Amino acid sequence: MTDPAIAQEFEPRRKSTVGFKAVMRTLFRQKLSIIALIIIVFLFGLAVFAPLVAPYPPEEPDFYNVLKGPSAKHWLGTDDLGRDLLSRVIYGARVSMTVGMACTIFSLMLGTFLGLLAGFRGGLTDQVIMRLVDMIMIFPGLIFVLVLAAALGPGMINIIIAITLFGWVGVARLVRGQVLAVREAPYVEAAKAVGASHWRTMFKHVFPNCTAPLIVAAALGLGGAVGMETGAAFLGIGVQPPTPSWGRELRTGFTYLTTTPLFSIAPGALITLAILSFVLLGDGLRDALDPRLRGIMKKR
Amino acid sequence: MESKKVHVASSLLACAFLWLLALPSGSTVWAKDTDVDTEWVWTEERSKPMWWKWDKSYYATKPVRGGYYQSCATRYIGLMNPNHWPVNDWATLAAIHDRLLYPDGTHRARVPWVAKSWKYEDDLTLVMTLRKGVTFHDGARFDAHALKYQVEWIKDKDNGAWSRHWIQPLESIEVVDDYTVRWHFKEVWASFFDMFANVPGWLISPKALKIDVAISDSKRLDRKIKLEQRRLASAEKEAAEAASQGEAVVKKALAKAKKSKDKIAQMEKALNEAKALAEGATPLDAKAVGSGPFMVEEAREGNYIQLKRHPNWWFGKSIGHPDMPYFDGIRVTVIPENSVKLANLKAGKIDTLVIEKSQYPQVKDDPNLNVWITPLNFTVLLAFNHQSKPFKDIRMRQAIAHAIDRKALIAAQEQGFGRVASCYFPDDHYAHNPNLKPVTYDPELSKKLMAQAGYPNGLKLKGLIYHDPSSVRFGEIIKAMLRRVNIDYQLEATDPVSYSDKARNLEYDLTTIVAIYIKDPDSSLTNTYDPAADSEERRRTNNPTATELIRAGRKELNFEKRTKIYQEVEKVLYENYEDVWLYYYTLITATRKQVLGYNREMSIAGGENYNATHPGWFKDGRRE
Repeated sequence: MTDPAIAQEFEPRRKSTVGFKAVMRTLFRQKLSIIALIIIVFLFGLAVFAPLVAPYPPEEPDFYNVLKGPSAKHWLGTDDLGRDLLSRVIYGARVSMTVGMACTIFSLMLGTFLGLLAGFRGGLTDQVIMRLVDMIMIFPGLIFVLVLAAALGPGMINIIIAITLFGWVGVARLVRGQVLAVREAPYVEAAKAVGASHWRTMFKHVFPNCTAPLIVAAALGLGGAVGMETGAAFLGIGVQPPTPSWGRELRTGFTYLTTTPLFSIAPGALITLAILSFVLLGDGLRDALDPRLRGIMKKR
Repeated sequence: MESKKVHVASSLLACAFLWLLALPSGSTVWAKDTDVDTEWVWTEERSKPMWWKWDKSYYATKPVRGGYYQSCATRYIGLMNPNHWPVNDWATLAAIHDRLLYPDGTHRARVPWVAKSWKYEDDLTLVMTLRKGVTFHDGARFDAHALKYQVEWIKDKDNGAWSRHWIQPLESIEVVDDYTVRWHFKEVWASFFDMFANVPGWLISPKALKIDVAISDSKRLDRKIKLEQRRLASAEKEAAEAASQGEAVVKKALAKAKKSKDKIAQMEKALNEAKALAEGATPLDAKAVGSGPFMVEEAREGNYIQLKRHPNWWFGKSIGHPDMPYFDGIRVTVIPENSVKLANLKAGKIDTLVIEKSQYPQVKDDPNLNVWITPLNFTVLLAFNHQSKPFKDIRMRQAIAHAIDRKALIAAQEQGFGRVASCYFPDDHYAHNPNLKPVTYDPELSKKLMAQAGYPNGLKLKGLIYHDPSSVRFGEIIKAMLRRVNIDYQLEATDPVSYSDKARNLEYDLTTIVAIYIKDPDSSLTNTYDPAADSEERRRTNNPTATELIRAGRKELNFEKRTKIYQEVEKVLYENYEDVWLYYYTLITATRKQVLGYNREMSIAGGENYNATHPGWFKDGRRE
């Protein structure tokens, strides 16, 4: 039987309000991270409250007012079917944010599970999972997603599936690496010694040590997922018209670049803003969560 | 006596001088066989066109040679043999090929060109005189033999000419003499002239065609020889193994082997001949060889094609303007994006552009450009799949027809440029029935009709369109309009090859058709509404009354009677709501002011023939 005092000695540092506060403090010291966070909150707000914010229904055409420039009635002008551009980019945020969130969550879930399994079990399980990861990583990401999405057919669900099936591999490798680093740690041995099952050990003792890099990966992954979705929509894959999508608006607007430049510039600017914000937030979180910057792990 | 001699000589000289003076321009004057035939044969039926002038009444300034005309195209020209598919840039190919005759601005193919004159011997036989002095770009001479070779090349299935079915009613072509042919038809064929003003009549050098045949023969013979060699080896093996089975068996096996050997020898001889002809040659699909004003200078697939002036183009010489065409050449660069095309035009990098309607505001007041708005003989329509359950009911077809706001469609899709269509033929076409009015926009009536047809809550329809931005936009507009009457129009946007395939297999309920270059009514109507025609739309509709009338029109040689037949066809199609005719197309082109020589009145009257007879030029002969 293990001495509880010894077990406690090697207990992993749990998240405490003190730790969380320290992370937040570090994060908010970085101006770019604050700006990025504000923008992300704004974009999510747009997506959630689109019906309240958008001045017009996004799919309602006005055939006698196509490709008009900005006016008091239409702040960003109208598109090639006379629909209000501002409303369409607002509603476009829904698609991009939804796809981004969904892909990130599912990629994290799938990647974490498989990464934990591969790192903790080792042996054949590790080999199989990692070879699968290697096979997928051979392909350039966008090409893989496009081919998969084209095979699955149009629609939001299918693009989420396609991006998730590529996105999980990076998470799996990350998690596996973290697991390999901690699985020989004394507290893990101790847990095994006191009779904890594999699953309990994996999820209760090993997994918590992976959360920091996972949070950073999530933030960066959101940006990547939004980029992939807009790229696929630009090429005509994913959500179909008349559902507004930033990528599709960007593509359609390109045809009218010299006549109605806002048609492309507006969604393009939002895509850039969204991806940049996620990347900056991810950078900020990485710095905030890096224990080398915040001090070493405290012993009780 | 002396004075008498002088008097006779003077009189003879005077007569000669007067004779020379009296010669009108366009009389037959040629010294050698290779000189251009300058005679133009005008008759009551084929009278001299109003655009047949090149003096100051046509254009104020004198043409000057010089400069390369810069143009652009969305896609590379494609295959350069006009009888092979796909050809993506007909305008450029038209500059390379002459044709037998031309349509005029009323869409009637009656302007002589390389075919000088023609006359019916009976309803099934036509004699045609050809022009002397026409030379192809490779130096080959155009004559009756060349024409016969070309026509028979098209008719030969092995050559893969898509235009073959267009000349199905042709029985044969006979050479009467070097510049006369006799056409024999299987049946009365009123649209013969339209066909030979079109692709089958675009003249290709017989030398180049023979080389092309040699190239494909080489490949074919190569394969056949290899196959026959395998058979020979098998026969020889059989002969060796048959030794124990008796002399008769051996003899049979040896005979089989000899037969193979002889066949191989024959094919090898033919292959060597073909290879000798084809050696170093470029197939026609990669380099066109016509007799038109311009010839291929260089081409880079996917990038550009450059043409240069044909130094022996016959037309200018035939009318006393040997310096035609005036441009030194034409360069057509591939630019897929409309916005990039417009930027190039405004920067002076290209000289002309077909303007996307949304770009019109940017060019209309540009001081450096001339902008021309021209009605075109294209009809845009929504085509029903009559095999599809909903559209077997006329009430559903009526419902769709009344659900479309044509004026709004023109406003959105064409920026207001377009004419609302009543039926198939454009309003300036002789076959257009002026008594038919466009179907009214009435969504309430549409819903009522749908309810009567058993669809009170609407329905889903499968749509098929091309995946280019303009077609997708068009599809979205129709979708939005149909949504107002509770129809969920589910669009599938696809590439042209898949589109053809799906259209042929009728994998849609409703699709878009743009009937382009409607000239002679027969070919357009046959392709769209005759179930027996070999086209994508062939099984789509089945209207026996319309079909009977179309076939009657094909056989009617009298123009007035023919016109009445086609107007009746329109009425039948209209009353049956055969399709949803939406609008007639309008073209907007912008050309840099430096390009001279365009007379709008003559262009509208002359159509394609005006373009061929009145080439443009740069101011002072220089491209700046």
